[in-house]
Amino acid sequence: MGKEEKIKKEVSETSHQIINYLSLLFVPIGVGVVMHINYLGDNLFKILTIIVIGTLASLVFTAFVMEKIIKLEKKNVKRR
Amino acid sequence: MSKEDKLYEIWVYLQAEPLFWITLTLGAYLLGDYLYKKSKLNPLVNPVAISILIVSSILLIMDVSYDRYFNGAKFIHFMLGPATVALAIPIYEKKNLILKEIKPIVFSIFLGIPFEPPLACITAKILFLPTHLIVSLCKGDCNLSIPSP
Repeated sequence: MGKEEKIKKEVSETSHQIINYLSLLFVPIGVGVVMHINYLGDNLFKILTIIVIGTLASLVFTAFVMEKIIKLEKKNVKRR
Repeated sequence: MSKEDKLYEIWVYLQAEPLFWITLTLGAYLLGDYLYKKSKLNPLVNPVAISILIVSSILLIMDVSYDRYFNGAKFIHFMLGPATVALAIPIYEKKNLILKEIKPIVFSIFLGIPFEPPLACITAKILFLPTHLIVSLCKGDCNLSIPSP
């Protein structure tokens, strides 16, 4: 195995390991949100609603666009 | 010195160390992960939510400020930067697959990303949020979508 390949393998293993525990790295931020929850007060549930709606809507919209484009591409291929 | 005083001294010593907060965070996460695996990967038993609840309730019970906790937890928080960069590695490894479908991917990303902040702002406006919260929601949504896969 060449030197370059060895480095590639090591970088790949390390980054996959970090990504495996990616959620752990969000714990300090999450604790910060909980500790400062008083600032949000009455707006907490509104903000939660916005986060849920926004995330779902953009996910669905992006998937919709992707599906449309793939279908269009397939049609173009058939015409040729 | 009574036994209780000795215990208290150990507690003070441990508290002074940032290491204690790292250990607490890691321990809470390990417990959350254990419960998650015990529940056969039920998404409701989220290890992050569990560990956040454990750590923050301990901080609230012990009346510790967030700054003091973050003094130790910043070592974990620091790793978030390298982890975000590490997300590029799986993309690189699957580059052949991605290049094959590059057109729909690029299109849906460029149409999907600008879709979300205005939607969040409009929803915030409908729900009568104060202006400073609306502004930070518009910005924060773009921001969080980078590290969260």
